Amino acid sequence: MRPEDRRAAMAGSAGSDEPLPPLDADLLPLDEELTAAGAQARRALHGRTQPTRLFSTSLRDRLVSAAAAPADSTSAAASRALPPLAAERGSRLRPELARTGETWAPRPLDPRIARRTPTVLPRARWSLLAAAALTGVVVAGALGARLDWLLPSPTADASPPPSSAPAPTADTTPGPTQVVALPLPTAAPATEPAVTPRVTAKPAATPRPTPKPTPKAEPTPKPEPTLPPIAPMELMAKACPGGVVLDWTKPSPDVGHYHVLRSLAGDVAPTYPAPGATEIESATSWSAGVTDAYDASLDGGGASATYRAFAFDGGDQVLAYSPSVTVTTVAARSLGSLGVTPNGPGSITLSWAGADLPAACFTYGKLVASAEDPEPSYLKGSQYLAVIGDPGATGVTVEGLPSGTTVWMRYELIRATSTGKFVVGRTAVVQVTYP
Amino acid sequence: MANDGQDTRMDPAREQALVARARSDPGAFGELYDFYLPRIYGYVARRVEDRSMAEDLTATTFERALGAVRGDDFRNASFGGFLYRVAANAVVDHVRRERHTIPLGVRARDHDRDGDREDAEAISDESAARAFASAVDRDLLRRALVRMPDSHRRVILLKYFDGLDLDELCAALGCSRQTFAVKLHRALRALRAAVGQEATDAA
Repeated sequence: MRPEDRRAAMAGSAGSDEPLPPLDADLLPLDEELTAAGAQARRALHGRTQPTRLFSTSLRDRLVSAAAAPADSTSAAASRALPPLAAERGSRLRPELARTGETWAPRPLDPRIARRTPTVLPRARWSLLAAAALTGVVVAGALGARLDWLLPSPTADASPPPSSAPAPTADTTPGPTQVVALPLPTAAPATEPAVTPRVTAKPAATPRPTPKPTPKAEPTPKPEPTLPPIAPMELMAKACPGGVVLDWTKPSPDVGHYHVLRSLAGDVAPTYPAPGATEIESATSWSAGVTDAYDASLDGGGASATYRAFAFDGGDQVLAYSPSVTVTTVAARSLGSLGVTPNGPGSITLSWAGADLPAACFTYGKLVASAEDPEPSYLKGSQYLAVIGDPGATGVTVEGLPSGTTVWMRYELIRATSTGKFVVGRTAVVQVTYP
Repeated sequence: MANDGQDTRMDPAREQALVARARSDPGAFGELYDFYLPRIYGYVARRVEDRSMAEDLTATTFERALGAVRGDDFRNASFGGFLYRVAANAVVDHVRRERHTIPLGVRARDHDRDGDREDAEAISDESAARAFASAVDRDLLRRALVRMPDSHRRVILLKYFDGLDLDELCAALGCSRQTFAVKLHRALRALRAAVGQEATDAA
């Protein structure tokens, strides 16, 4: 264990049960704001900060294998099971292995590096000697070819003419080439005795000891990493007035995000992207825990829409997909006109037609008003004067309004999902001056 | 919005039992791994943008954790806090490697030049601070978070952005609960002062 890790392992102060002194009261609002922001940031980044399924299972298999080794050899076992950091080794080998599930093993040393190691020194020595000798042969041969006219050649008459030497030097080969026979550990092969030493410069004639072929072990097939089973993914589509509510199940803990495709011409193929299908932006969920959404992009009603949801892991690989589900869309409800009855200064009663909505299609009703926007809507951020929790409600009284102010006003029924809201029904807009 | 369970904590008694069993039971370590992998990976990935590098650093963290829990001297009451601290060291090492050319096979922290650990920690927190700040609604607070002093910002990030619990925070910062309380108060006051400074600058 590294010293700093050892210090961390020995840091026992965290185990104390002393209660944490409460925050000063003036810091509590900031604490709450930061807590909410942190949760929101973690949710927003969830897709990008989740490990891929393959990485999780591959690393788990390796660690558990290493943990199964005797305790005193854990470090060594873990080191064998886990390759060193890519950054330490200056390569990206590790992630590739993590993806393929292979076990890391040291690569053979580069020959240039291997020469430095004791095990290969004898071979290197022979190679260097042979190389030096051959260099001498070549240099001496060249010099001999140039200078033989200066030196007397005692063997010139005795030597037979070279049979296989290159023609240009055939008449000048004796003399200097005698050098070659002296320093080499093994002479030129007996099969080529008559050939001039220059010809012996073939690699086959070098005194390099024949390396013994080392029997290679049969590579043991590495078992595929075991992946946790994926639960079937279900999709529920509910056609509500004004939009379709989509709700699906989380098929695996390794999900990073979801996409939903829609087709208006039959089934959605179980591939992503699917030909002829449209991606529903309002139904894309970047958090594994957000499994409900909506589609309000179809105007009017009566369309036959088919949906299929896809779950992806952190590496953008499809983990699972749901069956196709087809619904017939329904147009948003009209709640008629908004009746306004003044009650007195700053007080009015508003009324509208009731809506018989299933609970799955209603979250709340909002009475919205705007002094600037003639088409106020809760979805646009207009100010709301009242929240209604009953879809069948037909009116509300509002008090404390600023007298004399003129606003545009309407009542809206809203269905909210985790990815957004849509309007299920609404009244017509009415202009009101507060009494 | 549904919660995907990231905010739940492992029961401390169960965690300590698993750590004790992990010395001889690979399954116990596997259970700890299953629980902490998403958290540790998330912690690293919020600071290291490259996915491959995040996987590397996460693997290194758990490798060291395995060696630690099987050793005789593991006495840390918070396994999660220990993991966060090791992961933080791994991230700092990574940042240093990115900043300096470190000879292969040499640990970055062995090349501690002029106490540059603080610099490396600050750099490793930069991307986390930006991501956290982007989730803050108030503009002034958002800007103050990015500009506040590094030591205070680290406390804020670990507590609010990474969502560590108290024992994990103490272990990750290497301090007692009382000391952490002081650090948190100072960090929040520093942040509030930075918000005020931002407001003054804006005016």
